[in-house]
Amino acid sequence: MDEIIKTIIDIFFSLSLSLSLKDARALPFLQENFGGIDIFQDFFFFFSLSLSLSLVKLTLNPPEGIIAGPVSEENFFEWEALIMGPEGTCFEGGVFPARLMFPPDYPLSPPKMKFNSEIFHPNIYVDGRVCISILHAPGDDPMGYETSAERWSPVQSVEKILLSVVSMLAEPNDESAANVDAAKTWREDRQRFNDIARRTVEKSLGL
Amino acid sequence: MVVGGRGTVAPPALVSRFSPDMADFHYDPEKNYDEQTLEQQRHIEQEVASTQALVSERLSLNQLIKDYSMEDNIYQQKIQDLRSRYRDIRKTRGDGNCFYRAFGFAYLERLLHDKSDIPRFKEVVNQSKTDLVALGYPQFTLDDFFDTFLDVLSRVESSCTPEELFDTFNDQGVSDYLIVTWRLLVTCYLQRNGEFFANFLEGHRDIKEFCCQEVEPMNKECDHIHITALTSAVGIPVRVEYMDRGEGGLVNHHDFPECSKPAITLLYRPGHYDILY
Repeated sequence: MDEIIKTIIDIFFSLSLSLSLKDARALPFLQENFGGIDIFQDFFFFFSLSLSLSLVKLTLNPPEGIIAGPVSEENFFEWEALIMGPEGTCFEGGVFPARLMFPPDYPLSPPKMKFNSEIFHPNIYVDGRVCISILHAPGDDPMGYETSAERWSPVQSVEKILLSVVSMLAEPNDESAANVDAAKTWREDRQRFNDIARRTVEKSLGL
Repeated sequence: MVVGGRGTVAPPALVSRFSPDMADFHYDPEKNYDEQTLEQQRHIEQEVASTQALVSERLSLNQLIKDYSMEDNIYQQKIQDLRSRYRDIRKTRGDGNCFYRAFGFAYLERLLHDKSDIPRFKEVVNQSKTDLVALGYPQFTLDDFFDTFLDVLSRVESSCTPEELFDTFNDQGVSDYLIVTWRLLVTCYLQRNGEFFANFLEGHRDIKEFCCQEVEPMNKECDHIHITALTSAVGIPVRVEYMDRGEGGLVNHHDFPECSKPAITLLYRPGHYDILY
């Protein structure tokens, strides 16, 4: 795990050197945390500012069970994340890779998220796309979420999304199912659901 | 009273999924209908974006006459009434942000001619940011929006021309960042006065939930409660002329707050706000 974090920090530093961007508004924050590294001065530009800051925050202070960062230096708007199956649930022990795709106008619009590995879960489409309320603005109501559910707004963060995904793994919402089959199994045959989940966990570890 | 920006567009995917005209419709489990619904929604938004400027040039009120059929007596009469008191209109895009965009442009345009209110307003904005941090909003996220906002305000204070202000408001990136900040000013005021405003909420939502769902997300339309909060928060009184299908031939107005001397005037037509001159 330390290796991966180190790699992400490396990518972040090389990114900051290789890109020529125009916003230095993040500097005070970075100086506080990195002791005034000048190379950041050129790093931030308009829309990716909050993305950059999310990355710094996630890298410095990662929430438990989550690692995330850009896939490559070329594309800052596509991230890779590793989500650990939450303890005490049927997904415990699994390590699930996922992609986050940020739109050009992030954070005005939410990112999309897709698991790269197979997960049988009520709120994940068969092709891996994650369907939870925080990834949708109110009004975008494909699954008819309950009105009190957390929604996307420009003051939400990547960290919040990832934490919501972890809690989604722990507590599936079978009321608004993206995978109807999984929702039905979760509701009616918990034993079978747990068995499938355990196989998914083993698969995710390459067993 | 429900007001805002894109009320007239029916969600077409719903029509295609549930309309009785589609008697021969068969559900195909392989298809992703939710995606299609959202796709269609995006398509409508793009169409609106390609035909309406975020903020238009100043147009003569005569333009409104041809927005309605000549036989539409109620509206034609009301346009005449409007013309007796106003000369021009500036339209905004119907994207759900129209109240904030109209309000913001009208106020900043006014500041171009009279800069005396700027120091007070800056103080209000900075104080709101401090209050939002105290409410638990992450500082660096707020900085992103407030810095853009204060930057535009500083340019208005120093050297901005009306053309530059117009261009700024039609630059989608900056323009939408300004909208986010206005929304944050509303959410801040609502939450700090939650006890009072909770009395006006329908359903079982508390004020924080209301803000997360109806104020902070982009494209969520503005209601009476938002306008009351915004005008109180920033101390900028606004007059809204309500032009709807009601009888009487005259356009009624409402001032926020009541009995104030309005700094700017907006025209409300069901679902939409524009600026009046």
